[in-house]
Amino acid sequence: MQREGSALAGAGTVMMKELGDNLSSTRMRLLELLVFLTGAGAVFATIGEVRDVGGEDPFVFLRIFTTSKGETLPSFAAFLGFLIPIVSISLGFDSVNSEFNSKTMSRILAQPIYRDALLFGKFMAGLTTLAVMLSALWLFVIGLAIFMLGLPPGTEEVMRGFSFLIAAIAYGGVWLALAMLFSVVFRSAATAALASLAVWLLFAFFWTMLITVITPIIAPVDPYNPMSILYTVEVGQALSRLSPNTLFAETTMAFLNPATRSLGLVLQSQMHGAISGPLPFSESLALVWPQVTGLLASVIGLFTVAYVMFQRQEVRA
Amino acid sequence: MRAGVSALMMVASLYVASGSGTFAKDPSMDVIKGLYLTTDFPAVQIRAGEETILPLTIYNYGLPPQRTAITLADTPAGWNADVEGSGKPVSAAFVDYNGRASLNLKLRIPANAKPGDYKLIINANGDGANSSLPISIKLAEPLAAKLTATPKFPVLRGSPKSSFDFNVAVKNESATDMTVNLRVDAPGGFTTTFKEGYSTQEITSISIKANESKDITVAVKPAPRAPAGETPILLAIAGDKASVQARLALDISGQPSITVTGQDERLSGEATAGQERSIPLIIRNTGTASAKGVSLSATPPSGWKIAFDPKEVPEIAAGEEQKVSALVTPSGKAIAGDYMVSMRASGEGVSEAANYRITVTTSTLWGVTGIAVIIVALLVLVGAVGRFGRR
Repeated sequence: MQREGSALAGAGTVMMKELGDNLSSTRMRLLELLVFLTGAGAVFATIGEVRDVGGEDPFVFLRIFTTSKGETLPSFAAFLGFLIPIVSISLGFDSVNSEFNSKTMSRILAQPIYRDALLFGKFMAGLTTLAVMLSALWLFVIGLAIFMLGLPPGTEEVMRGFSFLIAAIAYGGVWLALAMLFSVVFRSAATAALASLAVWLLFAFFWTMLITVITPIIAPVDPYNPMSILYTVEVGQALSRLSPNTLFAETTMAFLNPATRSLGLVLQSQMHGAISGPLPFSESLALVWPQVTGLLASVIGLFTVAYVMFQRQEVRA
Repeated sequence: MRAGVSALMMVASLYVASGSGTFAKDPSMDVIKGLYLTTDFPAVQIRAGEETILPLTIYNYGLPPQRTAITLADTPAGWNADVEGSGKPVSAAFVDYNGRASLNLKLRIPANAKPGDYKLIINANGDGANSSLPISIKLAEPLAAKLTATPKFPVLRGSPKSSFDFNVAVKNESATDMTVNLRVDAPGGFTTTFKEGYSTQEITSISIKANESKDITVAVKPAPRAPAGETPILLAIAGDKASVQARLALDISGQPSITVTGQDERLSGEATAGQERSIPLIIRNTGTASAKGVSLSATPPSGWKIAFDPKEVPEIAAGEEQKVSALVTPSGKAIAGDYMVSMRASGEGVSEAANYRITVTTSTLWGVTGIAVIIVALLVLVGAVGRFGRR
């Protein structure tokens, strides 16, 4: 039966209920604790090194996010790249199938709430939870940095830091949408969780290895043609950008390191006459816009697939 | 070895013995006997104001060693006459048997003494022997104090940036030593230094002995924007009694000097990759002559196009400026960020470059494409909602 009226009617109600559940659940508490501890640990570890270079760098605040302490401790941005998928997956992997398993789905849909609204509400709630958590963490780090460095951040630093936060939320959104897709596809929550984690493992660890195997097959290197080497590198890069991890890493680099002028292959001739210096924020945004677009489009795309599959499912009482 | 040493000692003793014997056996000593006060030239001509030293000698022939008192008589009024022995004023000398005593008569005659003939008597009174030496002095007119300055090259040629070194020989043509002050009358902004000969020390005055000449170097540095042409300067050398002036001239040749800068002295600008952008440049002639045939060039990064409008400026007069547009087209593949481009203006004898910093911004076309992708994704979602929306 075709729906009448807005697809979003009742989505707000679902979202508020889900948000309440999310924020009060023990699972979230543990995850928040984990994220805050690692974030604070990374900042405390790197702040000494940041303070050493403080006077020389006009973007000292951005260094809080990007400085890693030697080989032992990765930077705050790298920690986020690792932790955000875990948090997102844990928020989304059982959102739909748990309703089936506890036999509450038919009861909810008996209410004056459309199926559309249920999925929209659940996704919005997950995304809001993620946004609240990341914003709090972001403010916590900035505040800690102001406290420990004794400097206020500049306008450009705030803009870049805020863009980084938005990119982090979008990155989380990709994994949330993926986890929700699996929660729609698989009736068992454990299967959905494992499938999500498998995808995450693939992109986080095995994707680089896979590319080194796949690229020479797609674009073999001809040793007598230097342009073929260029082509091979470009194909490898295009493949690596299928991974949201790569997109997020590149976005982070462009936003938090203003001296980044290019994310791809740069020919010697392009750098002729160039002098190093920070790019204006608008140029960094232009540089990384395809990556940001990719992240946002993946969120929408994955959610659309999840939506279509959910709409086509049979719900029995 | 020992034989050699004893032979040397024998020669030495022989020499000592012969040295003491010769004077006593001089046969003339038996004829002349007595005390003699002598001088080489007992009649001299002196200029008033000069200081004269006459050597005196007292001989003692055949008398026992004795103390000899020296006195001066008939010293003209105002004259200052002293007898000196070994540099000290003395009034007596001790003369050995068959020996002599050397003395000096130091005469200081005031400059206002009247010319004419004067006489001075010096008496030597020994033990029973006397000698009197009359000295007649003809006093001449004192020399007028005079300085001359002879420049080696009175006119020097050079650019406003060069240093003009005049070598001037200054001669003191007077009877007395003189300390002279050096001064130059030059237009404002010119700096002048004096040096003696080739020494490096700067001086303001120099002392020149009577009838001597000193080489001084007058180094004149023109004002940076001194007009082209001949600039006369006056060198004044002044002592306490005489002074002299020398005319020197600097023939300054004009020189163009150009600077390249952006509008409002800004040397940075923005340009979009692949799009032409006009950057205003100002070429200023800060020199003293007009710069001719100033052409413009640039060293762009590879793939860039830089043209100038106009390409060449025929002439920029001294103190004038010329506006030029640089049409910069960054390479279409240029990545965003800062590039350094050297813009050079070179004319006849002048060349100047300025480093211009161009911030390349990339086209916003990809940004629009990105938004389009998101809109398409949203449309797909809306379409899915429309197609699959159900109760």
